[in-house]
Amino acid sequence: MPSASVAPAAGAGAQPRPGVPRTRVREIRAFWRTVQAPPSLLKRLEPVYYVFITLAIGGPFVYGTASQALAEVATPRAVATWGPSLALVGLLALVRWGAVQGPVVFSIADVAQLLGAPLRRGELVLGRLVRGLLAGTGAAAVLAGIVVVGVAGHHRGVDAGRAAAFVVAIALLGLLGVAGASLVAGSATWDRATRRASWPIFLAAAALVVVDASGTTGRHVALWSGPWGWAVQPLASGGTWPLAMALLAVATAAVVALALARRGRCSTERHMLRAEARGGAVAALYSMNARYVRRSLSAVGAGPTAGGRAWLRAPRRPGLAVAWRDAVALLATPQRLGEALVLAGGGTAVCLLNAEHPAAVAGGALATYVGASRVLEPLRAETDQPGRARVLLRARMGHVLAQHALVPGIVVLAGSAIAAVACAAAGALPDHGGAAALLAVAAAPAVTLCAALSSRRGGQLPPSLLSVTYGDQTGMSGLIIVLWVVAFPVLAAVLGSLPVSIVVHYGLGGLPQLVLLLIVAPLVLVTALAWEKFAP
Amino acid sequence: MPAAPDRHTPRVSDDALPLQVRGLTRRYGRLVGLDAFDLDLKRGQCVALIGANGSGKSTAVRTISGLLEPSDGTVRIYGHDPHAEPDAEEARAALALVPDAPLLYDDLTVRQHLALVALAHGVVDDDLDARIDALLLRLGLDHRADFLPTELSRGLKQKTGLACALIRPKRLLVLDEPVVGLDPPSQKLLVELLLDAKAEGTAILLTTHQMAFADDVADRAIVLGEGKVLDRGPWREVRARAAQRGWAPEHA
Repeated sequence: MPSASVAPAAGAGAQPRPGVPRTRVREIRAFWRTVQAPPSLLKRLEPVYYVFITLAIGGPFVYGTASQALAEVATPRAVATWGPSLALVGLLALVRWGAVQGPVVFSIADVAQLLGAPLRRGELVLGRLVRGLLAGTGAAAVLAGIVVVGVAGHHRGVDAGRAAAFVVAIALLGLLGVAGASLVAGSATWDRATRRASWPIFLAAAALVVVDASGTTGRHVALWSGPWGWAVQPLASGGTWPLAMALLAVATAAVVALALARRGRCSTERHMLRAEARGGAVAALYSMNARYVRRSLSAVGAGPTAGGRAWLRAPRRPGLAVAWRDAVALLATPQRLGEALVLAGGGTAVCLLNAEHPAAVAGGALATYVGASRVLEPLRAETDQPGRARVLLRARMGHVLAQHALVPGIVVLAGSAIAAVACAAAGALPDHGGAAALLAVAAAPAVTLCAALSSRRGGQLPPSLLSVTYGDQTGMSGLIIVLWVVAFPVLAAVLGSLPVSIVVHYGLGGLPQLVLLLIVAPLVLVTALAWEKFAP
Repeated sequence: MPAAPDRHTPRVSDDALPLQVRGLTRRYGRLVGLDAFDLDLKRGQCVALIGANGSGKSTAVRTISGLLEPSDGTVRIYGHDPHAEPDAEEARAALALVPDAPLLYDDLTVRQHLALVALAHGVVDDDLDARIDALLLRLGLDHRADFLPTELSRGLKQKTGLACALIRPKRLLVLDEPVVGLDPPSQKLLVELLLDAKAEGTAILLTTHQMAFADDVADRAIVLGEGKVLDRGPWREVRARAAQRGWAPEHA
């Protein structure tokens, strides 16, 4: 315990006197070193050992994958076409990370005891912020290094100077992103602005790909459109990349300087929200509960639910109670309703417009699956607290869960039907277009039920699966977990894409069987969803 | 060791009121948790905030202490705004908060908590250990001084939170439901500690549901309901008015 005289004595009941000297943050750090014995040399070398082991085991695998598999897609041309767009989305993701955590997160006790003390906020925050900036820079540099290995693969080779410049540029972009995250974490205004800009930025990222592919002028526009374009120039442009690097360095320096200057301005409330979210997320991670990790983190930016505004008259039939509850929840969150309609409609449109390409059709089915997931929140809420449904509702839990799939199914079906009609009206349907459109729309209930079955799992690995993987001696435990995670998305992709692809490629011969499949599959899936034995 | 000449020093004004609140409003989305709340708190005075669950007591306390951002209005602690850095540093130097659920480190003992808080408030000296021992003894925590919070009961954690507030200098003491989790002897001890603090000039703002506790320590009371002030005045008068109306102020 420190005994250095920092100030005149003032204890229980003592009154502070104006002019009492204050503690500096370094004295707090010295205190921690005193009460918590420094780790032994062996303990301190542990991280180095782990890094070494990870590099020794994972390094060759990553290198091999990057130089072979990644080399297939990470060509210089692909970097030029997709690079600015991916860099923009990555930058947005990094900046928005500040909305839920950010580089500076204290423990709850720190918020109460240290942020509640008359210590300089700027000093308290500085160490964490600098470590966050360095970590972001380092992680981005590693990512860039992997991309360089991929681009140089297949004996293409990359000029060493350009490769080094690319790594530095992406590292700067990472630094820029973490500095942006710090600004978002510290300011409700920045938080709101970046949240509102998210969808436009996604659209801009898509537009960048289109613009880049449109020709030389378009490519220049994409590469000079901002830091995301400047950062990929060392691997994607002619001789202009030094200027782009200079611009990126100036922009990054400006944002980092702003983040450092504003580092102490984050309110105690925002620090507390992040501290509580981290505590909850870490606890959920230990129990391998992805749902609670997400809930903990999203609680940081969540406002109150606005259920009361969405008025909808309650039905008289008890059997419609759950559907009514879901409709109320849907009307209270119109953004989710819009996202579900757009994703379901977009997925169906992708299926029909690219029916010749099975991968594209499967991608469209997955988009529909994600759209269904957006409106299945009431079902997830049911699995969060199974006891609630048992106390409040009359129906058995399995039936309640099955009823929760009704409204999402209608929404997804509507989105798909609208897209199919639009494609037909535009004359954009493929061969056997009527049948393909019918099957694409008819697959919506099955895809929705796959999403419902996935949601019913509550984002948590079941104990039975964990016990199997813990006891596994064959080395297949990782594969088992991956299969468990992807089972329902894969089933949705198969059910959503197979019928359309078969009709487009092999004609109408199998149409009755395919229609029968899309009638039977939802019945099987809804039975599985309602199965009481496996209800939470 | 003398203080370094360049070291930052607080500028807590002796002339300003310990706590001055004007039009303080806190909204949670469309819910108004606290609506246009005013308060002047003088030295050596204790004001009790009372009201039913959800009336806005904790919102008021948390917003005044800087744990929640106000939606509107101003808070001044000895003339300093607890929500605007670096001015908030001065406010934090004067205000000691005892939250309803103590926020403690899992890996620090009770004694280490007090040492850390003392250090963070610049009151470490050769007598610190003796002062910590005396405070722990008075609060009945001496036999748990080297225990971690995870080894303590709810009441002992509450006492540790109280000790953290008492070991440091304070001119304004804010307590949110301080008697929750305390046994009757500990509640009596808390009353003694608060009366001592009042006698030394410390201003006190507290929330409580226990009228007997408020009887012992409160000079004035503010009755809150739905975030609004329903009644205010000297404690005895507020209780008397409540009795005339046939309702208890805590059920407002």
